[in-house]
Amino acid sequence: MKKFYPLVFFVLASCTSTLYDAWEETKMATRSYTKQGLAYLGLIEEESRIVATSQEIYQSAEEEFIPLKDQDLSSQYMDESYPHSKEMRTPQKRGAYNAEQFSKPSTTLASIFSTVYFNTDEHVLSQKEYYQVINRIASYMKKNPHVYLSVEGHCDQRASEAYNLALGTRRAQFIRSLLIKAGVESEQIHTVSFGKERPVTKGGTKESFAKNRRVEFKIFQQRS
Amino acid sequence: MRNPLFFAMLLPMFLLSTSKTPPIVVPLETVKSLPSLYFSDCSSIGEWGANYKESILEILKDDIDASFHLDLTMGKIDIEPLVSGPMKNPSKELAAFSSDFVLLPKFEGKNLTVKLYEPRFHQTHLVGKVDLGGNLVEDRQKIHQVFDLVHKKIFQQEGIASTKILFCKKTEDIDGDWISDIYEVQQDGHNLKKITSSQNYLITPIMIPNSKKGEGYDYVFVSYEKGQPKIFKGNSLSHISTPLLSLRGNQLLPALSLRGDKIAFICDASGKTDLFFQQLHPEKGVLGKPIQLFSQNQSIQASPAFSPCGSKLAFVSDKEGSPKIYILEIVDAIRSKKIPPVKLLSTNHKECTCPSWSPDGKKIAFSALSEGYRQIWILDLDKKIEVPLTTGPLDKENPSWAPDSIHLVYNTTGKESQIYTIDIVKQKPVKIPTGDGISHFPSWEQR
Repeated sequence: MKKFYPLVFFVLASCTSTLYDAWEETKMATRSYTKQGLAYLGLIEEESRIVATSQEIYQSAEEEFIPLKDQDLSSQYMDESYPHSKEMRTPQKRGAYNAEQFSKPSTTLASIFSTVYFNTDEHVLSQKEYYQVINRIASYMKKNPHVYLSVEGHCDQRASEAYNLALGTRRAQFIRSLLIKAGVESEQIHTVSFGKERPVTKGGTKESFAKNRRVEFKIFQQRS
Repeated sequence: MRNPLFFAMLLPMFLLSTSKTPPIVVPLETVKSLPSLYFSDCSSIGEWGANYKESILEILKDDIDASFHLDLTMGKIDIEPLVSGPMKNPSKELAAFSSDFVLLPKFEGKNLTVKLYEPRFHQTHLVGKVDLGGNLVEDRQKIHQVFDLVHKKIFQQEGIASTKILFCKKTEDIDGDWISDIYEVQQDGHNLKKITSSQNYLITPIMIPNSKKGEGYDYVFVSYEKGQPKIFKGNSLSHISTPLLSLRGNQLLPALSLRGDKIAFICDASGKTDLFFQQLHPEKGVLGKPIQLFSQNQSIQASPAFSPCGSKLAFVSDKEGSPKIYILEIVDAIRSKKIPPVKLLSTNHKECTCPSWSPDGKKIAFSALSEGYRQIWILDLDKKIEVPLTTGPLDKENPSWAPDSIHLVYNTTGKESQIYTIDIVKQKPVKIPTGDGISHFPSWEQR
């Protein structure tokens, strides 16, 4: 009987990892397979990166606010939520983001920084062509580290003004997370929500609503 | 074969479930028995003439009417000489009226003196003495302040006549760019005044309670001056504004507690659109760090609103699909540092947004889709009933309560974006004239 003691000890020792650890491992594995799947479909590029730890994602966020320490939120890193950078590597002065320096892309760059559109009350892109836009933007941003991007989230006129301000952040943040996953430095990307404050068209038709549910891009290129 | 009695029992239940029951209409409870006020005629005219006197008295009368707290009788005799001296037998001499209170205005030179007489005790109180400048725009506010003192004398609580409404108005400039500035207007729609000239984009202004110093006051608002929307604190006189919080990301939809010692807002610093909370100090600004109060994967939080005591927050979340209003206990969330349990507030309507908690704590106003349009609804927290406050074809949003918990201000959206006040007694909207542009995000001054 004594010869089985080491075996019993080994089995018991292997059970000491918690459910939380098991969940973390599963999550990481899922993330890896998700990435491989998206790459296979051509939705993200090969050189995209995975952010491995919460510390890496959160950076120094806790310096600024007291976060919730809920295990449910630990899965937020699967939620494509990349915290904002503390400071944006701004063109002239670190930390001082000046909106006036950003402008709509020139005619030559307009084909890269195309506006992307969303379905009603959604913050996730549904069409493959928009993921291709994101890939084009990511490629350009990685080749041009001195280019800074402002991602502007807009909504149509149907939901309430206040709710749309919140929804605009979500849309812009989703695009930002796609770009970071595709390898763009987080400090190069800034998001702004305008809700339904700045519609491109004021019509009340389905087509008008669809044109207003969008994310627009503005850029600034630092002179080297 | 089942017992026929079983089917007989089921039949009424089936009929009840298929018949369309008419909506239950329950009137909102307000003040049950109103104290009576006799508005004494005023034989004195004063230096500014009879017409000016009539205009001043009209303002006073409108304030009494709008308060809904007093049963007003306009007097045809000047009572002032009668009550100013000692009466041998007051009950007999004042038998012509049996009001609880008598308002006694008197014009002397450039001054208006307002007294309040209590027949029961044969006591006269000097409520206010106003130095009239002869300019109705400026004198209007002074009269409102006097009425608020009359209200306080009777009810031990100030009226709302002198309160202001802040809102923002956006316009398109020559280049086709949108700019948005902050305006103030008196609650009766007079004295519209632009208080910022930013040439930028400013939204969601809220006056900080108890911050009034003379004519000036502090307010918080959201500015796009730095690109991302950030919460700022400004002053109506100095026009100086400074960022309130040092926090990354988009800061939106601020809400202040009634004491002005707490602020809740929406921020995406964590990468998600979360509800945040921050303690405030009247002079120092913020106390400690902002606290992430509520977050949920794959959902958006919006529009926080404090309960009057500041211990609870109503807010909007789409965590279960369509936007709904939830309530959380702030202390629980801060202590546990975990996602706090929340209570679903309204289930009867689609897309419930923009909650506003009445200062008496008994009601929550919100905007919800109803027959194709967003209307303002009032939820009675004690009786758990919801009643519509507005009707008609325009969308109505962003309700904000007056300190009396009877009046509200809101804005319409869509074809016409304008500011309206409404009360829960007559339920008749009154348009606040704000000129050209899209006026929205109104908030009523709190005390």
